[in-house]
Amino acid sequence: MATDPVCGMEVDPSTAQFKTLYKGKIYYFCSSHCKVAFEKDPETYLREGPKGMPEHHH
Amino acid sequence: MSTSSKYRMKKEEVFKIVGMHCANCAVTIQKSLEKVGVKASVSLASEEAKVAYDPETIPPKKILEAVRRAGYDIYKEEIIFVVEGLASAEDDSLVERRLSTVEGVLDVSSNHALKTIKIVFNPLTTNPQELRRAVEELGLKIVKEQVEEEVEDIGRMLLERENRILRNLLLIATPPTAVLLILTYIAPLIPPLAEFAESYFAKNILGFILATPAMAAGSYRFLRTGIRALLNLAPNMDSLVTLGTFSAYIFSILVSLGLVAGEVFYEAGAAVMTFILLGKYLESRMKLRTGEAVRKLMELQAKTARVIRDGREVEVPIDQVKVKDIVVVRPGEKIPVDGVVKSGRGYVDESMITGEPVPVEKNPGDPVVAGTILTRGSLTISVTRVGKETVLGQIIKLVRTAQSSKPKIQAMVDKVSGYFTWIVITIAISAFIVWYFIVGVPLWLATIFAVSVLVIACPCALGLATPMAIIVGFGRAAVNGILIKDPSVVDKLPKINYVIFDKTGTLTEGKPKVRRIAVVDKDLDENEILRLAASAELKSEHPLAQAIISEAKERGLEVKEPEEFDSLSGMGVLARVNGSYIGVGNIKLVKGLEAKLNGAESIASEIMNDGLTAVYVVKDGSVVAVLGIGDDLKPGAKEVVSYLKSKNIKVAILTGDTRTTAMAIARRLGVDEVIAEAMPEEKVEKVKEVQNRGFRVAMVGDGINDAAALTQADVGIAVGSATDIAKEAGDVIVLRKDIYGVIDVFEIVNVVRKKAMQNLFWAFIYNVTLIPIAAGVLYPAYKIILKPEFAGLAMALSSVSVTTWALTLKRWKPKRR
Repeated sequence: MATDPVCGMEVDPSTAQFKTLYKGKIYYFCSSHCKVAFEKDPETYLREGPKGMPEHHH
Repeated sequence: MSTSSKYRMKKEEVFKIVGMHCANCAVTIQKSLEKVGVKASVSLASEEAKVAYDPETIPPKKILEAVRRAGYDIYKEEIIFVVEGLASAEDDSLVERRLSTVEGVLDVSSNHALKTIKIVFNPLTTNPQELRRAVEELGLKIVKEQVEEEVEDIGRMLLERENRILRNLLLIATPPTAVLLILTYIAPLIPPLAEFAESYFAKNILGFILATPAMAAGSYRFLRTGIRALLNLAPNMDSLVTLGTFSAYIFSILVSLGLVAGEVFYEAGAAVMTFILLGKYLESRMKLRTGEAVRKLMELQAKTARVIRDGREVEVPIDQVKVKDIVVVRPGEKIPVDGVVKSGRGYVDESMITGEPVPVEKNPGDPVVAGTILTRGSLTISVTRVGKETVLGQIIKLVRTAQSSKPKIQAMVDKVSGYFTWIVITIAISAFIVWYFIVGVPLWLATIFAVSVLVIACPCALGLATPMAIIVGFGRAAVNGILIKDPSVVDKLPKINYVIFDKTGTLTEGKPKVRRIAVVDKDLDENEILRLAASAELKSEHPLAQAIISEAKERGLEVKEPEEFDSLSGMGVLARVNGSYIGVGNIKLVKGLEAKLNGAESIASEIMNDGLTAVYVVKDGSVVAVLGIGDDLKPGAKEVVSYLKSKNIKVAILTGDTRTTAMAIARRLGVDEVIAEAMPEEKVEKVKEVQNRGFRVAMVGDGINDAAALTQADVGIAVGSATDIAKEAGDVIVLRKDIYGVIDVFEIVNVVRKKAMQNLFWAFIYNVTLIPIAAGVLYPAYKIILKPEFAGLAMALSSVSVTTWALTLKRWKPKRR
């Protein structure tokens, strides 16, 4: 099990749909919102840990 | 109409939500619902939304829309009632108004032309039994109830019966009416007969005797429905006819009996009835012809199939063929099912489904669809889909559904024609009052004016205008491989001023090939790089991966299963091959891996400037090669773009490719804008962005992979394969593989809209000019009286001409290229 670096949820890497590559490492997310949030500012999440569900707008 | 408990008040309803997969979804849906003023609690666990709302102010349709806007859907079921007693557009609007207040009903669409009422409902709240009761309470007789199927046949059966009844009624009404008209108009001109024709006996007794059969025949058809509509306070054309003819008839009887002074005009009522019966008869004959498109499609279905049972070939009825059966097809025969070729080889004519005129070669493993014809060779087919699950079955279902729903213009017309009949009745009464009491003409003349108004008014021409054009036009489109799922495209497509094409598979063939291999690490050769890249991509289904794999296989290279594999959408793949860590993908992948570029960037930009996609191959942290992968443009792509531009429509390409690659292709096609580097999940956003710039957007793409973007666009056009229509998104589906179909979509919709508008226009002009004349406005100056019998003739001709005009759509053909 991997941990979504944004919301802290557990994600199964073998089924996860939302992933990204950062500094040679693959990160898995529960949703595209978390992924987008991470890609905007990966360092903060990696440094400060998960922050919960990001607020998103439609 | 009762107001029993099932008509709702402020209430709570539970909806099943489709497509929820994370806690976030619940919040999204809840917010979207709150925006339209609905209190909701959405549960992820049960995938249900409990909604409290006031149906008076918020129609359930709004809730459905709100959930859809959030990107999900409500689980709903559909039922179609085929009914007797739906006579006119006014009935349609009444039925829709009443039924949409029934609890659990999400949408109602009534179509008097097809005699169907389609109800979309929430199965958690109501059920078919309750809906059936609600329909019957409206005084309609349900002939058949179905969850979509065979509607066409039943509708057709009803039409045929109506046609037969009308013909018989005409046979009863016509001879005596003809004699009566001769007696009234011709006999007075022939001296030996003139005296007889003017006699009390001829005018009163013979008049009554000759007029009565026509009145009786007409009553059989119009009286019951006309009176019922009147009692429902929603009068229709039948009501007007009944009121008009019976006023004339009863007035004449009263005169004959000496109860009222004046002249008889038995011929008026009889002639009007006869003419209107004739009009209805001609109309029903033409309606029978409008359903031909669907029937033609149904005839494509084979009745029997040759199946292998216990090692022997047996011919069985088509409904006994099951999935996984093995079917044998010989040359010249129809392929009876959808399936995959198991053995044999042959050429199949698929023109009836895809419009593609050249027979397609089929080898083991190739898919075949029901309704196509094996022209040469012989095939054994493993069955994958039967009956209504087949592509053909899905097409038929879809065309029917579209034909029985209606666009906005028609909904508006239906509403108007509901008031229209009231206005006509008011005009008729006013005309009578003004002429008799104010001007002081004789009673019989005042009656003639009133009767003529009632008879000449033709709301049915208004009501028929659009449905007829749609039934004929959409049917015609379907036969030519264009399926219009949502009739509102008739409203929307003409307003489109921006078309976005998904590049791969839509503008291009979707069969990319490796065109260039630029080696960066000179220690490796082209074949070694291809072998590594192909092995890494082996488990990927991406078209670029397929290009690399097939190139490697063509070169006879040994492609191995990777030891580890992961794919990152919008970037590429990572894999372990022979112990090396291999990445194949775009620049984002290279950056994410923080791989050494070794000067690969300038090679890549050269590749992209040629319109090719640059794919980097990374081995153990450094770029070893850049592949240039290209996809041929579809023939006609350029013509489609220039066609749209000639209509003042902006054209854009949407692609995941880099800007440089996309621009190179855009230049070749003459496309205005490029929306590049779009990740698959961003396509929806990109469409939204264009919409936010104030454009009305049509999206052309793949019905499955671009489903969300097609839904987001104002009009979604799915182009491509006739594989599984039910799963495809889009308001329009083009089954043909060639891109020219996009032009045809614009053309056919335009033609349908034009016909509908012309029909509406003429129907409107007809009513606006002839009603005043019937009311007698030309009488004072020119002594012009529009006698009821001529009014009846005019009215019969007007509805016949509306239908005829719609039928000319049958001549529409896609542009042959």
